[in-house]
Amino acid sequence: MDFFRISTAFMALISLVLIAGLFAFLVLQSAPVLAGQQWSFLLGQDWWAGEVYGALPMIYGSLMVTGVALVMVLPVAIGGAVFTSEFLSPNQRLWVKAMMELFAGIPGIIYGLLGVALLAGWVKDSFGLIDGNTILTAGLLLGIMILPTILTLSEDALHAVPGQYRDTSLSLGLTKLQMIKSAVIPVALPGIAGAIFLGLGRAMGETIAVMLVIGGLDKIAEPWYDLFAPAQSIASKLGREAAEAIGSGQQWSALMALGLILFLLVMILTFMGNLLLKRVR
Amino acid sequence: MNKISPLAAMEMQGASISYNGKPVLEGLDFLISEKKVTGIVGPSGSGKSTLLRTLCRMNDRVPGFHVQGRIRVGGKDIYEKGMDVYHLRRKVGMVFQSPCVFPKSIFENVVFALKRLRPHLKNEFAHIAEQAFREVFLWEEVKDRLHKPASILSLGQQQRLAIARSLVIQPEILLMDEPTSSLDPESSEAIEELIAELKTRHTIALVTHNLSQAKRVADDLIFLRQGRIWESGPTARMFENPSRPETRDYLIRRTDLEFA
Amino acid sequence: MSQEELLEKFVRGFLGILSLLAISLLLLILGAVFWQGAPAIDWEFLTQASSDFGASGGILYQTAGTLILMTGAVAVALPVALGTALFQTEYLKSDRLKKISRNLFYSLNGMPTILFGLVGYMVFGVYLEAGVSWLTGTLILAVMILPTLQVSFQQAVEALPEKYRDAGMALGLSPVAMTCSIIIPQSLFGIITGVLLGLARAAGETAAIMFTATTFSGVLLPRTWTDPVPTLQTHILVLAQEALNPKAVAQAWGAGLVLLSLTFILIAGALFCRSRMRMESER
Repeated sequence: MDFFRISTAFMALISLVLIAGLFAFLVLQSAPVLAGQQWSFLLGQDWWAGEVYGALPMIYGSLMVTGVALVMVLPVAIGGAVFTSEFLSPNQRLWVKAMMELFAGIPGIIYGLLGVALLAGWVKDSFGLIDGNTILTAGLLLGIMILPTILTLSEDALHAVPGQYRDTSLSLGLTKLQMIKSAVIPVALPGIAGAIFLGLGRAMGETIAVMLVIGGLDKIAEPWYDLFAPAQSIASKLGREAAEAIGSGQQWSALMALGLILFLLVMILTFMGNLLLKRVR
Repeated sequence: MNKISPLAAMEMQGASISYNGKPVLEGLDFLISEKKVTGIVGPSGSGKSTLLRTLCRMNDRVPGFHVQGRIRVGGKDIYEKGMDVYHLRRKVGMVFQSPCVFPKSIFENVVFALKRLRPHLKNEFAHIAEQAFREVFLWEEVKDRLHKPASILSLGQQQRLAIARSLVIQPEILLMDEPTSSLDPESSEAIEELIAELKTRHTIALVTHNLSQAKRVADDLIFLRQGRIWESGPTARMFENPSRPETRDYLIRRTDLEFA
Repeated sequence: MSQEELLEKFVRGFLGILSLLAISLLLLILGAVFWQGAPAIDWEFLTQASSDFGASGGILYQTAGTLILMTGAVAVALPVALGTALFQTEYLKSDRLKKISRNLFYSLNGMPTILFGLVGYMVFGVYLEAGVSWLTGTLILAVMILPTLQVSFQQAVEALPEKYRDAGMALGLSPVAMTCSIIIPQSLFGIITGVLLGLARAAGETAAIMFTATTFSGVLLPRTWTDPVPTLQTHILVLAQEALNPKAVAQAWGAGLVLLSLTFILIAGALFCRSRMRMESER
């Protein structure tokens, strides 16, 4: 065994330990609350620091804002992906791809600033609300945030459809639209689904932007589909309370348990996304 | 099925094909006769596939591709403005080098174009599919597993499936781009027999690098060399009595090599 | 014009409008940040300390804090990521292990950053007693950008044409010599791409550092390992919530424009290097 081999193996080991450690830590630290409350943690609707911790409103909030983001962004992202892959010249395509990569790197705090200073006010005025910090506001903001990711990854999936499927369809006299509909999109569909999963994973984990515009109310809206109600997502709850609870006590443990739920949700989404996208890569 | 009214043939007159301003093929003058097999041969890189693809405008989606001169199919200039390219491709089918089946069932593959182009015939799909499979001698091999994925078929079977898929929309002309080059000898033979059968109803243009195949299957031959048509004529004459020395070199020496 | 062509034109136009919508939405965001942020920016803004709780003065130390954290993070993550990438490309033979580790890295890449902050604080801040400090923040960000670097590096090394490796083997180079004289120099553009993307990701991160590494006021430059630093990200976060103080919000936009420009320059640099890398490997 030479030194070089040992040192690179050591580095690889560090990486693995970090990943495993992240999960182990969340489990260990959330154990007190999970063991004490068991299912009532997951299903409880009240969160009183020091007394009882119920995660349901936050789970609800996370699902709602991601759902809204998805509905808002899907037509634009998929339409844009089809247009970029099927109707643009190779050069124009590269420009769009570069732009999307640039846009995907806009920091979350910038979206947060836009949300607080502009979007929340716009939502408030256009829908005649008392407060602009709502599920809809957070969903809209997240939608714009994940647009570049979903667009560029679905475009990859479409673009990776082998040329022979296109050639064959055209040689049979199908129109370009028929070709796209019946030969390109069906083959790319798993990849597009993967892109959506990854986008959702990103949306669900976003903290700063959501935290600033969601309203921060640990409550399930009534009726539950009221998009103009304030809410709280898992990530925004963590962002808001981490500083005050930091390091010890039941509240910290409860936050870690929330973190564990977020970890699992995002893990499932990213894992499925990568699995579906793998054929493309 | 397959009653073809006006029989079509193809011709090029002073046509040239360029890619990004660089000429690929120039001075193309030839005629492909009805219901015959015309072989297109030549060294690799001589533009055989390009020539074939030009005949059903398959290169339209290649940027920088440009065609000049007259290229007629069934008497109509296919690069003229206002030409319905989709109609053209339904009349001129194409079979590619490596068999391409869609990730769908065998049946779905063969009715792939029918479903989109002739949806009103829905009740007859099963019947049309069976006939097409019989035409390519594939029926016995697939009749019990029509709804299995097409990818379970051997490459030779896939290629015959691809031909059947083209046949169901009743093209008058079939363009075949080295259809046997990725197949084993036995499957190749099956395809060659099939071509001989198909020419009773279709005009066929066949690109091949296998000269003994050209000799066996083609009625006429076009020999491409250095971006032009070096020589063309009936296959027998081309092999027995070529008028240019390079043709003799290529056709006869190469054929000997293949048999050696 | 046939019906088919008409339909195609229509669908094409419709999809085109959707694409245009996507791009203009994002351009709108850039426009808004520029429009709101530009008035705040002048020489003083960039070169002075903030005063009046951020409502006036500049962002010099916030910028410095962001730069410290992001370069620190890359400095820590670089050797680990490079070592991991090299171990996988040079030594790991089992395809199954490669697959597993690839999946792990992709998953880690998708992790919510706030989780890095929570767990990272427990490990570095509490157990290693670094507290709320720039050191804790640097280490957390280093873990966070590790997959970004690692994936980029591995792609770069794997894209290396086989002939270079063959040439090195033929000369009888040892693994170390091979790495130093062939693999790293030849995949340099790919490595720089990864570094720039990592820097951009670290510069734009807020959630993971806001309660683990930063302070809003009181500290300018860190003097010890365990001092917190002010950063652009958290500066914006605090000012953005002062909706009633237009001066504070204006400062937030100014800081936002600076931060956005910083990340854009880094990503644009990464895109440029990646295109160079492709050109190299196509030669």
